[in-house]
Amino acid sequence: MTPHQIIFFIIIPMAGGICTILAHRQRKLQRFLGIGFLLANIVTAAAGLCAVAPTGSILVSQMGNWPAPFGISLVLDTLSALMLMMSSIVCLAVFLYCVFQFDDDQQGGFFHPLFHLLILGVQWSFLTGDFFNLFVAFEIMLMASYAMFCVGTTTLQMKHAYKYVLLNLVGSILFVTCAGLLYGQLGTLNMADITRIAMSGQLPDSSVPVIAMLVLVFGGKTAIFPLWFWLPDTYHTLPGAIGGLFAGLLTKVGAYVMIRVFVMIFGSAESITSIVSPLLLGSAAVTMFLGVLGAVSMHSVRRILSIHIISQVGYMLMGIGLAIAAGIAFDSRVMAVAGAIFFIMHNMVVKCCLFLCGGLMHEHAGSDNLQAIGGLLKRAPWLAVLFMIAAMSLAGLPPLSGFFGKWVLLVAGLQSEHYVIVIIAVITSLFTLLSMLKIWSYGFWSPPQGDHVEHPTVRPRTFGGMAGITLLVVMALSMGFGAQHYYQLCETAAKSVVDPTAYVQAVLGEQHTPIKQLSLVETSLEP
Amino acid sequence: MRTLILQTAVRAIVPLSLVFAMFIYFKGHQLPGGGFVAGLVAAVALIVHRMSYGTQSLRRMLPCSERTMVAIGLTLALSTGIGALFVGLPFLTSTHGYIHLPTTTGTSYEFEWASVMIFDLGVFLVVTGVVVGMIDCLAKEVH
Repeated sequence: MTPHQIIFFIIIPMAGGICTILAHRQRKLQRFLGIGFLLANIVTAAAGLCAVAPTGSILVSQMGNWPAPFGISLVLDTLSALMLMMSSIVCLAVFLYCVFQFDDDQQGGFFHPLFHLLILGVQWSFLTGDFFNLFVAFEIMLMASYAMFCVGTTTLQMKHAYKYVLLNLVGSILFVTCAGLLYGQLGTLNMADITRIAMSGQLPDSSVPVIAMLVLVFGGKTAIFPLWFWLPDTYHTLPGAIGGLFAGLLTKVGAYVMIRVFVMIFGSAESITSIVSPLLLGSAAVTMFLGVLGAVSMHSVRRILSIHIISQVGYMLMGIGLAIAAGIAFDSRVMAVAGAIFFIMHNMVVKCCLFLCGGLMHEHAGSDNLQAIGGLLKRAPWLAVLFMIAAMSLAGLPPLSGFFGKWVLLVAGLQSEHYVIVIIAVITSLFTLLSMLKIWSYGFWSPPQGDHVEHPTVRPRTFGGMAGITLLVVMALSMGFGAQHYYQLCETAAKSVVDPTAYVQAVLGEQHTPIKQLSLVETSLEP
Repeated sequence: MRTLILQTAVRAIVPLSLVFAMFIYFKGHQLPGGGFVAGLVAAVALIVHRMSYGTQSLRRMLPCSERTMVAIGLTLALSTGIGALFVGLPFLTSTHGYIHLPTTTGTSYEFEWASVMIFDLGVFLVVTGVVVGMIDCLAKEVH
């Protein structure tokens, strides 16, 4: 893959969106096109990963050939490549579920174009090297998600969609305000250029509050304590597959951006890390613990899974917070970030898989209220097996993927002597197991209680759903049994994030002139 | 809104607005203007036409549905970007040149063309399609 070809990550989903708009109302064609484009996406992601991961190299393409701090740079480093790889697999699995399980009504309107445009926004966020451009990518992603929230259009869904839209709009306003203020203070929004300024210690004190405000912005999107309140209230209204897509991608994009911004860009600025790190660690502890308590107290599969998203975000935050904690050795920092990256990848796959399982449970039992359903082990034995693998992986039982993610984070926490958060993380893990066993024992194991729910008499068609779930479970198993290989990739990614010298050089070029020495007249473009 | 006054006025307003939209579009490469604003102006013209003559008349006027218009616009924008990849340059790299256009006074007018203008035409179509489509949907809800 040559550097300019990284734009294919944006071209493919956009072309997918266009083609499915043109194929309006032709379901079969849309389905065929969708699977084709998503497969192309996975191939591109694999090519990208092969190009950057072995050597830790960085591919940069300057849009419109404008030089770096002025134009928009797209950057593919190992971290981006890993995220793209995972997200493209998650997208395919969800798509398989959607096109084969959803009825025509749910797939109607602009469902297919929106699906591709959502992927466009997600992949763009992973790829961009420019702060304002990140905002644009977020907006594309959110616009698509606003509309997708209404797939199926139940009254409950519309009511909660309203909250979701409102809160995200507030977040977007804050984001663009921060971007404007940063531009005013630093004269640049190119991530590599800001990193350079932060590394040279020239960051003005006035930008500290702005960056602290960014914690609010990304924290809101990622649903951390105390900005999480919108998530458990909205996600559970969604059909299983859409919930899975949002759970697998949207909050994880927030976590990815936090790694980029707080670890890579501002990780070397003491004035910022000294504020952000305790903030993130404290929030991580409360987020993971309260999240899991909420999950244990719920009685509906989708609600349990929705609140679980929050709890899991806590682990990612823990990695990020540790990576920028004061007085921590380089190796431990790399370990903490690698753990966070591994955990994000694992969580994308497993969380999405559980949501899809929840959707199929609903189809089999006619409800997803755990007090009403039961006995699914007999009705859907394969679903039970796949659910069990995913659930145990989420709870972190060895040798499944969740174990290794948590293990690395815990070791990084012990090495840096943050014992409190390590203890909380371990306790949270136990409660996670408890809440997963709750779904297992009520939903699958025990005989159906109360007969107030009509079980569907016809066996639902679950081919597409099972295909999607199987794909994700295979991924989760490969992350568990091949953890060493995945961890090595994460470590390569983490190294380039913790020490961004190579990133800055790749984007800005070897002999770039610092922006402050250029006067406006010299840099103004030809009329 | 089907009044004689509006219908008569619209016969002048619509072509004038469309010409003005074209003017903004061509001017937009170097000066304020461009595909986005031109698209809005054109959409306003089409909506005014719809107000006085109805949806059926608007449908007859447009060569394709708004949905197709948006798709064509996006295709144009995307393909201008891809074009640069074939010559080994980054996505969206544009090129430009000059055309000498004859004028009535005998001197020639130097017009600067840029490949970005095709991109801008795409933006124009997307904006027009989206605005006309949205207003059409909302108006349907009201009636």
